[in-house]
Amino acid sequence: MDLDTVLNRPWSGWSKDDGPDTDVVLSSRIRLARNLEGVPFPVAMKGEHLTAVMAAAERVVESLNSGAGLGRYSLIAIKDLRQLDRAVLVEKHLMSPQHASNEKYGALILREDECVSIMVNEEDHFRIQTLSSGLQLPETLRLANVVDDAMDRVVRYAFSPQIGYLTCCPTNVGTGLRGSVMVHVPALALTGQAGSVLSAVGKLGLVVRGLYGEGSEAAGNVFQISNQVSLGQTEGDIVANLSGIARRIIDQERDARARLINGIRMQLEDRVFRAFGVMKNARIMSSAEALRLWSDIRLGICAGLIMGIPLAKLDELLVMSRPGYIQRTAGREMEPSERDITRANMIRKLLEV
Amino acid sequence: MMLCNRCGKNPASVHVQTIINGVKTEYDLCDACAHEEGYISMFHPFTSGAGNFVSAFLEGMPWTGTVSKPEQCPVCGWSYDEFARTGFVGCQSCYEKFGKRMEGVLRRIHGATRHVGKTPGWRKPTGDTKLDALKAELEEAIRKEEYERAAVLRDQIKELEKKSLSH
Repeated sequence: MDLDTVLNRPWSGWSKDDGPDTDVVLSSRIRLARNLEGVPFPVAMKGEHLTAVMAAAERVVESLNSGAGLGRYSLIAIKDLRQLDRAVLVEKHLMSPQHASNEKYGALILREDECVSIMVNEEDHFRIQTLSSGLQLPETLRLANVVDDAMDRVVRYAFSPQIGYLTCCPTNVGTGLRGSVMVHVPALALTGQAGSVLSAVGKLGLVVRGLYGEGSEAAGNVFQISNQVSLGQTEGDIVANLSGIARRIIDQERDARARLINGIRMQLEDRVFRAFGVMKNARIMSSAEALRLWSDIRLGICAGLIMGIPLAKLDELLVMSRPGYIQRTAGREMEPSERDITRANMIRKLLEV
Repeated sequence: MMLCNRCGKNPASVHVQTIINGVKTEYDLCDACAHEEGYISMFHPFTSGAGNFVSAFLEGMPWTGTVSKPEQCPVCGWSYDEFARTGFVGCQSCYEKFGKRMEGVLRRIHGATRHVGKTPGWRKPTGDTKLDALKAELEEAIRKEEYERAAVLRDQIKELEKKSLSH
């Protein structure tokens, strides 16, 4: 696999194919935490244990590459990556920000289409992650299980029949499964319902995360919903529960969008096209502004107000407008003010039809 | 000017809100801390904040042991205090070592203490009744914290597995 190919493009294999319900759900993600039997977790690991984990990682890559239809995988040591390469991998959600600085022990196993990434020696020895577009958690889980089974054939996982897969943090014990859906809920935010809908979700044993800017709205109106409980339920039940709740949020968001269109269509159009106008013409653009405009334009595309721009293309902006991607594409580090100019240029080019 | 809730030094620039089991927590972080906590990438799916999360579950669970020396895992040397502070355990044996209290922690976090999901290949029943019986006995011994008996059983299992491999 050519890593440059992955790092050069603002899109991913999974984001290219339009999944179901992409008008509200950006992505579905499954993570399985796995550790090797008899090797201390990374937090307590010593140099000699690294050899055991890396040998296992090599067997894993071999097993995955020899499995039919599993794709092509590469093993990359974090220390061999340039800083900006790491930044882009983080921005593409292929590894965590913490893992990017894990030079001593960290590695990444990456499938060329970016649907599968496995962090080696992050919090656990292995963190299998599968990603797909829209709401398709069961399918995403199936892929994670296929990868997990291929790994299971060549390594011995730490496991207890009582409490399941053993992980560094007890919050992941049992299935080691964390499912997440990234939802875009601009209409719930505009109608002031986002808070109540999402805190209701929080009462159902799920975790809602959003990043807040200075105002009360989450940046880009994007929230991540994931399960908290990983023990005492089957993988299928966890995923079914999360899918069911995501489905309710989708319904509520669509209702709110319909109310906006039917109730205050002109104001909505004005908002959407103002955003579109700025996005297509601005010469200086901060990442916060890009995100805010992205949210309005995405709503406009989904509501049928803006034609001719596929959602997948607009969503390239989410990676493209990040500092790491901008600087790596330019081939050098930049001051924020210079990045804002480059960002505006890149976005204008993206939106040229 | 509001200061960062984490370091208390720099001005806060990021407001983070999490809702866990219906409990809303909000805090303000500076850029550096937001980065370290993994919040800097806007849609980042990896934010764990797990350490704090586990510590919250450990609160109100007073030290009940009679020994004054902190309890340590014999395999990795990790202490229960370190676990309480970081939310992490050092190795798989910590789960056995901190047995009873760990069970309480798991119940608080997950509302359950029994795994009902997937099983890795090597843990699935082997079809060898003697081996399976020994393995079940081993689990029982570990649960009852009878470590000497567990060690004997573990050796017997290893011996049997070696034999079945050489066939």
